[in-house]
Amino acid sequence: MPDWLRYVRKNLKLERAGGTEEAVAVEEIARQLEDAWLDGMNDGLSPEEAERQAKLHITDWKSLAESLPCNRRNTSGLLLHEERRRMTIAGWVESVVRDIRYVSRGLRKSAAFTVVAVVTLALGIGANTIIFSAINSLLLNPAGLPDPGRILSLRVNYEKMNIRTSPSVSIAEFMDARDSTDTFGAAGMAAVGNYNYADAGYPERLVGQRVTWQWFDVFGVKPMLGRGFAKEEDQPEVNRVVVLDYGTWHRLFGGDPAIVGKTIQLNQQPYEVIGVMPPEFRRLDVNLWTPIGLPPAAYTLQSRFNESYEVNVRLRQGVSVEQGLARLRWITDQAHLAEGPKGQFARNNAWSVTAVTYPEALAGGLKSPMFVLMGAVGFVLLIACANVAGLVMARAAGQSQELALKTALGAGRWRLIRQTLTESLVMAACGVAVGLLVAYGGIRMLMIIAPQNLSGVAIELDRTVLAFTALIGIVAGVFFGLIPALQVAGKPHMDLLKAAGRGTATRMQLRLRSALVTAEIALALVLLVGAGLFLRSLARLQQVDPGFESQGIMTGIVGLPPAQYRDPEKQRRFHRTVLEQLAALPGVTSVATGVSTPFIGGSGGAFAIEGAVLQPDAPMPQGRTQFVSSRFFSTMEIPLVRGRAFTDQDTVTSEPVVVIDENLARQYWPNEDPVGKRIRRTLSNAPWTTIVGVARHVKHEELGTDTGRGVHYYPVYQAPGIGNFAILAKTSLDPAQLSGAIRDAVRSADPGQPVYDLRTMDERILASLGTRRFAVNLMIVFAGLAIFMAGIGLYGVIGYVVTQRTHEIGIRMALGAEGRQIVAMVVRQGMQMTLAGIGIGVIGAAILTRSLSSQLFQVRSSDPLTFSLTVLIVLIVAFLACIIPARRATMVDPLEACRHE
Amino acid sequence: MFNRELKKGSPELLILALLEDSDRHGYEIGKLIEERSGGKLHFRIGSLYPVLCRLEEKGLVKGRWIESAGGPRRRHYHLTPKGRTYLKHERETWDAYVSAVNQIIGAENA
Repeated sequence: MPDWLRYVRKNLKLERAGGTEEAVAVEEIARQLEDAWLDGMNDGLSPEEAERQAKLHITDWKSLAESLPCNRRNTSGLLLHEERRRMTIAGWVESVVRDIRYVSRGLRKSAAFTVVAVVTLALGIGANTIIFSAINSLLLNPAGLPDPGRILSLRVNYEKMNIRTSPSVSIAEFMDARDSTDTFGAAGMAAVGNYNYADAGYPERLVGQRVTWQWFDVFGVKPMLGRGFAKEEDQPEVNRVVVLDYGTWHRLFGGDPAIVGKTIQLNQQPYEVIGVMPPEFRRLDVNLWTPIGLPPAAYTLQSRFNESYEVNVRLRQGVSVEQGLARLRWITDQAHLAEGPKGQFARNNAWSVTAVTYPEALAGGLKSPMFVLMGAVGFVLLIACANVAGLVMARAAGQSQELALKTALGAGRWRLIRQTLTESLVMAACGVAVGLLVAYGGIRMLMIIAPQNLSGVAIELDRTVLAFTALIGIVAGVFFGLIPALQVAGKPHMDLLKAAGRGTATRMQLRLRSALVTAEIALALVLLVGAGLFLRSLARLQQVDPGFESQGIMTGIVGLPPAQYRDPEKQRRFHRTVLEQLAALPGVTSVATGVSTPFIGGSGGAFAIEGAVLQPDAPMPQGRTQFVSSRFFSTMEIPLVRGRAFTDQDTVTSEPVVVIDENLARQYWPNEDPVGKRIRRTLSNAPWTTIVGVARHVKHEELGTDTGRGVHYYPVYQAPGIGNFAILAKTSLDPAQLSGAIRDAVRSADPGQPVYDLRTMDERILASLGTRRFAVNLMIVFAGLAIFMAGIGLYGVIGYVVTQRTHEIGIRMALGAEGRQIVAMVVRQGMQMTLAGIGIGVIGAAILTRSLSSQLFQVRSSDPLTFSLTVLIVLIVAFLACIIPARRATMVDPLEACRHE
Repeated sequence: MFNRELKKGSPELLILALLEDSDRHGYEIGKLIEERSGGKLHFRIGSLYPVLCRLEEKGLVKGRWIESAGGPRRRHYHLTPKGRTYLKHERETWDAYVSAVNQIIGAENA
């Protein structure tokens, strides 16, 4: 027999010979030719003649090939192809619209089902949108900045001092970056420059940034009104120009469109407004920008290690972040190679300059919690989807009659699947719409509880977020729609008809729903464990003793404008007046001032020890530097372990003295008494100071992440400059009531000076936990939502089971079963699912929470207490979810139930 | 009034009619047309096969492979419900066409 398959394949020359349709065509034509050949043989023809006759059946192979549907799509004329496509699309759109109309009608009919499903989805989708929009605004796409990932924020490390990625850098690094023009397109340097703005009445404190003239170029943002700074304006004495933040422009000047060119009073000096930044350019509540105006002499490499500036650079076009970092490594190497003490200092301390991208710099410590939260809301959405899938299945069981009828009438499986999927997607679309509303409200609430590094960022529902929300809506719709849809698809028609006759769900369906609920419980448990661990960790943190008595202390900050307070004696007079005024107040037990005190700023400082010879590769002694007034230690109740505290006699004219803390003493005078030894702050031409006392170590920045770094305290009146300082007033009354008194005291010293950031010390300590508290609060909300939804899911399934078993329960009760036994029977079924969920959840939590370890404080990720409490919560919720339908089961009237059949 | 397919002699109608009472495979259909027309109508595989494809594409017939005992499998076609309705309609149209043509060319009325 001729090989007809080969013959056809050879002649047909199909373009896509590998496809299924092509293979079918080839095989079928070959079979037909074979039939024709056999026919000829039967008629008594010779094999050769039969073959010739058969081959005559197809002479025009080319037109046959072209007429085949599989081939027409590919090779035939463009017009035909286009026409077909248009028809297909039109038909498809039409049928989709028809499906949408159909399912919308159905959904409207079962309004309760639809509302529950949509609200469930909306909560899941809304939660995801909230967290994603925060991540988007914070990390992915900080509003208003083109290519934020190409802006680098310089950081310095002192490996030997255990200081890493410190955001304050020196002018020298700025110069190096600015001059690396082949790597960085623009470089900007900024220092804090707070201004007292006095229009009329009480002066207001404005947060300013003193910046080099190219600052806005780094961010790639231009003022919306007026202009940015010119190079000539970035000089001492001529820098009396200001660019306003959009919010400030609105708040203080009513959005005056003619503001540019006007003069305003800042620090009692006239400043000309030259520009207003657009609303998207917001950062940490900066109110205004002025040129930094440093004298040319300040720009010297000798400034290295004198770190008090923020420096940002923008990568030149075509330069990668990696190349930018390589350039910084080169700068580091140059500094290490420098001769003299600078180079030695860099080498000894393993100093280096590096950078983080600007979005990362903005996010700071929020980055990891945000991703944990993203995972948490992902779980919430999964639970929501599982719940809705359960609902859809329960409803589908009720509609099986309709489904069976449709199948009997010849509705294809694919059509039914499509309809079920369409229904899911329509619900998902509603879920997305309502979810966006949830997110809109949620973001506003989020901003209220947000820590500072988030509140400075405008969180918006921008296009990226909307696209994300639409995407998760579709994914969710397909996810919860697919399970019931596949059920329809996988079931023979007869089963559907039979099930319809009984009006019951198949056992398979119930199993699937139980599995979904088990998964929900497991997911909720994982979230609860996560939230519990965070909560325990926060509780541990709040119990940490800061080392001083924070209760009853009211704090406020004063910043004396350098122009009026250049004279140190004038600064000291101001201090004295404020301290005397406050001390005289009834109820105030003790008052102190300090330039950077615990939980209010702080800067590091290297020092030299008299007589100590530094090893060639040893770092300079290092500690935190603070300048405090005489009653500081008694106001804060920081005990002195040796020597004495400061007194009013420690003045500018007396012998320079210093108090160190026990950590510094232990580190540098391990086996001797430091009192009487002399140290000298480096880098500021400070005099030798004698150690007169050793104080107990206290926490300075955060309760959890105390580096244990030692402190050297100096008398405030022996400080080089005390323009910016904190006021600490201790009272036996409610400290918050001291605000007015502190304000009055400052005003009596100088009516032009405001006091700002008035907060109790307890509030400051709490604020230092802001990021953690924020994450904990959100985790609790999401975990609560998760367990609530899982409970609803369980309730739904158990309620359904009870309805299904009404007849059986009726018979049992007729046979004498007691209500208690019925309740136990129903609850047992629910608890089986719960226990399975708990089992899976505990294992999942044990694995997943391991990644949280770094974010926990003094709590192990496998903390048994958290796990047991969580399991207990899940059991209680599950029991509540089961007991309601179980009690309903006992209400069954045996007679009624039996008649039901 | 009459569609173009019809004027070409409509192998579609012939195929659908042959599938009305029984499922058949491709060569069998061509063979039956020849037999039942007393050899007057003869469709070669090369011209019949594209018509079958078209009918299947339109959802009027449905083909599936049937394994035959001993021999190779063949693709059998059966009429879909849609094809049945279509056949009914086409048959009426054909009758109307034939009687109209007959009236004009003066053949004896059937």
